[in-house]
Amino acid sequence: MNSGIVGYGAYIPRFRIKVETIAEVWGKDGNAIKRGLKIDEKAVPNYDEDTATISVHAALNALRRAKIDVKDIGAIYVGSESHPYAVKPTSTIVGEAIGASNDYTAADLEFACKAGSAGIQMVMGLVSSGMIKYGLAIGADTAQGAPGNALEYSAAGGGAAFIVGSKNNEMIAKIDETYSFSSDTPDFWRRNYAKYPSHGGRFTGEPAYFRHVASATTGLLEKMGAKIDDFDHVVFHMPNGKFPLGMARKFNIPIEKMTSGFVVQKVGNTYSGCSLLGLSAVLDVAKAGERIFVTSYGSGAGSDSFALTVSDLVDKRRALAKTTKMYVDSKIYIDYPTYAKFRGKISV
Amino acid sequence: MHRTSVPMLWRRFKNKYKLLGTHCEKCNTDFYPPRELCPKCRRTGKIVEKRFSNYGAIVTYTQIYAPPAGFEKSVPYALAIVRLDKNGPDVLGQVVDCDAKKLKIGLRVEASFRKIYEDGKEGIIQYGIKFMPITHENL
Repeated sequence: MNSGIVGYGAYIPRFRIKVETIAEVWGKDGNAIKRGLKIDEKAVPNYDEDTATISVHAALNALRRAKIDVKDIGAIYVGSESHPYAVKPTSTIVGEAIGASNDYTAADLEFACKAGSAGIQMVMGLVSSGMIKYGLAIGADTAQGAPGNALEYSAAGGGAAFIVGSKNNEMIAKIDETYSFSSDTPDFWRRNYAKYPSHGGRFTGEPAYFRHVASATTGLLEKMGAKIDDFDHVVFHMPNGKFPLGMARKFNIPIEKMTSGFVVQKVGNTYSGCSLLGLSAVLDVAKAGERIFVTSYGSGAGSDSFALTVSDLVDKRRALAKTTKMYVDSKIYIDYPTYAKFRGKISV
Repeated sequence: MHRTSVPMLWRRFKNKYKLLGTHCEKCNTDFYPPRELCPKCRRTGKIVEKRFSNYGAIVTYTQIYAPPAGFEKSVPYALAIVRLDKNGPDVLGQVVDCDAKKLKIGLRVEASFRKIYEDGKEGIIQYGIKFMPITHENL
C-alpha cells in the first residue's frame, strides 16, 4: 500500500449560533450545557448551502493545494448523512463544479459520521492498486437536530476534502497505515423520510463511541507495532468536546497533542466532516516529519483509524488555500429565529 | 412549478457551476453567460471558451424585498453586478453571507457555489454561482 494526501481543504459555513442562544429558547442553562458538552458555538449553513455546496468549496481548496490537473481525478466519493437527494449523487455535482473530466468513478457514501473517512480508505485502495491516479474523498454534512433535542446544541455544518495519490514526491502527508473496527450497534439512526435523527441517549457513549474508537485505535497501533506516544497530533471524532477528551484520558494522551485538531468547541459536530476537519486543522499547523493519528467514528457503528507522517511539502502547500482556522474565525452570529429559518425548522 | 426544463438546466451546468464563459478573439470581448456568436463581429468573430476569475468587486447592487416565487426564504437578499478581476466581464449574481449594512460599491467578493432554487419538494435542485465577501484576499 502506497498512498498519501496530495491535497486537502476545509470549508465551514460563516454563520454561528451560540449554545446559550439555543438554550435560552428551551429554558435550559446554557453555561451548564457548554461546560458539559465543551461546545461554545456551532457553524450553521446558510439557507442556500447543503452538502453539495460545502463539498465543492472543500474540494476546490484541496485542488489548490494539490496543484494537479483536475482531469486526473479518477474517483470522487462524498460521505454524508445529509445528501441533498435521496436518489441522485452529490459526487457528480461536485465533479461537474470542480471541472473534472467524465472519466471517473463516483458514489455517495453514508455511515453516520464516518462516511468521509471510509471514502479515504476507498480511494487509498484505488490509487495503491494503480486503478486511478488520484482520488477525491470528501466528508461533509449539514447536520440536523430536532428543535429542543440535545443534538441541537452540537449538530453543525461543514466538511473537508482530501485528494489521495501514490507518488511520494507529491504527498503532503503519507498515509502509513489504516485499520477499521465495525459492529452492528444501534446508537443513532434516522429512518427513511424522518426529518431528524433519533439516538439512544447514554447508549451512544460506552458501547458505541468509546468501544469503537478505542478498538480501532488499539487495533491500528497493534497492526503497526506502534505506541500512541509515537504520534505528535491525535484526532478522535468529536460528537462533542467531552468524548474525545475522555478518550485521550483513556490512552494517556497529553492535552497538547489533542489541541490542534480540536475544532468542535467553535464549530460543533459536523458529522461526516468532523474528524476530517480535525485532520485538516492539524495539517494546517503540523511540521514536516511529525506523525498524526486520526480515528473517526460513525454511529451504527464503526471507526476508521489512520496513521500519517507529514512531509516537507506541507509548508509550501498549506498557504495555497484558506486554513481551517481562517474559516473558524470568519463568522457572523445569528439568533435562533434566523437559525430556524436557515435550517428549514420553519416552513414557508 | 417548473421554471426551466431539466434538459435545459443540464445543458448549462458546466457554465452555471463555475465562471466558464466565452471570449471573442477577434474583438477581445468576454461573455458570461456564454454567447455562441459575437454580437459585434457576427459571423467573422472567433468564439472560444474562457474561464474567468473567481474574484471581483461590486459595481452596483440592490436589495430585493419582493421576490419571485421560490425565493421567499432568502428575503431580503442582495443582487449585484460584479466586475470580475483580470478585465473580466460584469456578472449579475446574488451576494450572500454578508450583512446588508456592509454592502457597498467596490466591495471585494468571490464566487461561491450555492443552491439557487429548489423546484418544489420533489423537483430538481438548481445550483450555481453567487458571490460572498472576500475574507482572505488571494486565497
